[in-house]
Amino acid sequence: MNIRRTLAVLLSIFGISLLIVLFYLGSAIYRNYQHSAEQITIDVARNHLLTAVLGLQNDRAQIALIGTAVGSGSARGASLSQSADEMRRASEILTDVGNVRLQELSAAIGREAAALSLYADEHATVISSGNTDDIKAESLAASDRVELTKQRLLTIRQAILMEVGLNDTTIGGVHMIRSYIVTVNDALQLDQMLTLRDLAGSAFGQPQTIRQIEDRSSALQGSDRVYRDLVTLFDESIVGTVSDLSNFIELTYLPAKSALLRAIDAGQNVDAAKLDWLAAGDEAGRLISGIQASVFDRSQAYLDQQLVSALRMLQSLIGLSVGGMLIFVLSLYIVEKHIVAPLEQMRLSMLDLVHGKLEPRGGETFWLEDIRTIVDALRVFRVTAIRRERLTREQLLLHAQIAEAHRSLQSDMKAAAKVQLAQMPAPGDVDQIRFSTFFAPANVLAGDTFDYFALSEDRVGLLQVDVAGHGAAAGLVSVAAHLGARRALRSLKPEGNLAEAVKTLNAFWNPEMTYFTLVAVQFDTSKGRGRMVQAGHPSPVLMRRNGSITRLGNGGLPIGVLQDAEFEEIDFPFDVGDKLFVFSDGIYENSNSEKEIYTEERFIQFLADNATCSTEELLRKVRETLDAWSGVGNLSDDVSLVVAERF
Amino acid sequence: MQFSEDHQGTVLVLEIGESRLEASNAPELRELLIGRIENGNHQIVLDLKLVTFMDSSALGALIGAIKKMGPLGTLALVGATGPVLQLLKLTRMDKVFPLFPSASAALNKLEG
Repeated sequence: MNIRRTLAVLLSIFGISLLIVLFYLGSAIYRNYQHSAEQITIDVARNHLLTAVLGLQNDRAQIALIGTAVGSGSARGASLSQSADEMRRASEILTDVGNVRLQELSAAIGREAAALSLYADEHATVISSGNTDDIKAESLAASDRVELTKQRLLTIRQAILMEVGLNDTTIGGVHMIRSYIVTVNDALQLDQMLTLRDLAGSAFGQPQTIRQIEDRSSALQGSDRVYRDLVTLFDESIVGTVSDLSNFIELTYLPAKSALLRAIDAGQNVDAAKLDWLAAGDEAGRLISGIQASVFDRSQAYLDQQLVSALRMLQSLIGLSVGGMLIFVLSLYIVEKHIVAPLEQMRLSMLDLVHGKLEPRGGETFWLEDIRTIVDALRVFRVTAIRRERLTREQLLLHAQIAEAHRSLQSDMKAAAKVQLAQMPAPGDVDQIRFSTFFAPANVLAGDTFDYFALSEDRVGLLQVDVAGHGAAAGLVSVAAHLGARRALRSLKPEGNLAEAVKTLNAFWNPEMTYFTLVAVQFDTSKGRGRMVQAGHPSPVLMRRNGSITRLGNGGLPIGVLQDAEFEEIDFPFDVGDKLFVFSDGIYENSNSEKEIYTEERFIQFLADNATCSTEELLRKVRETLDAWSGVGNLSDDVSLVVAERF
Repeated sequence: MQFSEDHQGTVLVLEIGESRLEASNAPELRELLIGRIENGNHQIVLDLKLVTFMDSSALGALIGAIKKMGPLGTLALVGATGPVLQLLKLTRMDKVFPLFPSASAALNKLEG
């Protein structure tokens, strides 16, 4: 799981949640919008239904009058088909509404309309037959039939109301006024019908007294007042129109009716009063139609307003959704471009650093401050890594140079060591003396050196030099000392003073140079003796033929310490079988791993213990003893041993 | 190199704290002595009682010091025993450097 995938999942969840919320909100608002649109349609249907109901009320009155007016020829005729048309229209409109229950009600209206239509034709046929009895009978039946249809329509209307519900007080008010209209119209038509029937003293029933007719007037007045007060509670805007009707009934229609009754009582001007009353009834019918139209306009305007506000809400939500999605997409873009992509780039840069790829990646600038900080830090890491790499390279180069210089120095040293070794003679016989040697420099170049050579007939010279320290400086001084000592010995006359020769060597030794110790020997084989000068060098060991050991000399100043130093010459016997051991201090001053010195005493003891060995055997043992003591190649000082053996 | 120093009047007493004076620490010994001499100390008592071994390189340092001092200076050695004394005797340095058994003896002699 990486950052990109995690962010993708999180943002997807967020986006889907947003879509779900928007969908639910949107569908609710859309339903509201659809509902508002339906309300308008339903309202139109209801208005048609209302028109049909009012029409049926009027029709019923007309039909009743036809019955009473048979013979008088004043019947106006009923138009049931108009009401049927209104019902059909209401039915058609409701069919388009999505609600199943409403569609059922629409079908019921349709059935009623069809039945009414059929009946209207039958009715018309009977009326047009001209048979007075049939017409009377039909009039009676039709009145009931129409009343029944009207009642059914009112039930359906109630059912529609139950289905749609009263959304608010305005719609409630509208409904209330429509009910008012229906009631008032019903009362009015009934009043007119019954009054006319009573006046005709017809076959409809027992003649009514004027008192009873007036009671009906009070009933009409009462129902009107009750509704008027209720309407006022709901919708004030329509109150004026309602009041007009109410006032008209109270101030014009009912007085006209009273005048008619009085005229009948008096038996005067009955026809004129009847005409006034009928005219007032027609006027009331027009006022009712007017109220119906106003209420319809009012409800349509109100529902249109509702629809507009629902549409606005829908538009707002769509705008909000589009805006929200745009912001979401923009966020996605920003997160990808300014966070995820730079992080990916940094990841690659870090991998580059890890793998030692130090080429810079594109010098992109980043928008977010913390990303910039990290990128800067990475840049610093990279620069540091480059610097470190360069340093390492330089160090390696330097190391290589040092190694080269060291190799070159080593090779110089080796070359110098070869020269130095070439100065030292190989073991061998000079005159009647056999020289055996052991030489082990601590470094390539040694501070120790030795030499032996024939001086003249019977005379052989031997020298051994030890320059303090070892290595190149000691090696160079050693060469100089070797040459000086050799010249001193070579220039010595047969009876010359060896001590004087060494003194001269010392006097002319450059005081700036390191001092050295020296043993210089001159053997005289013809005399079987030797002479020796010791200058700070360990005392040589004289091993006589019988194995007895003696140290020669007890010291002397080294060369180069005091310019006017004096030296003494020591004369010693050196006959056939005698051996002289000349050695530098290195042979007994080497330490073992416990830093313990081998010591001079131990070395002398070693020589005494091995007095009977051959020189070759002895030298082998010296090497073994040294290696055992210091370890092979671990000498801290040069070791040189020259054994001179008279044969 | 371990050492301690103590000024007694015009005399500087240097006590060497090493048991061995050899090629490895001879250059330090040389620097120490040459440094003190250059600072004007021409009467130096070098206490070697803790030193059990001295080689020719260290001896070279002492010789270098006495050469640096010149004829008016004194480098007295104290407590030289065993191999150290042997080396001094072998090279006759017991004739070049005054030897004393103890620092106080050396001081008495030098100050007296």
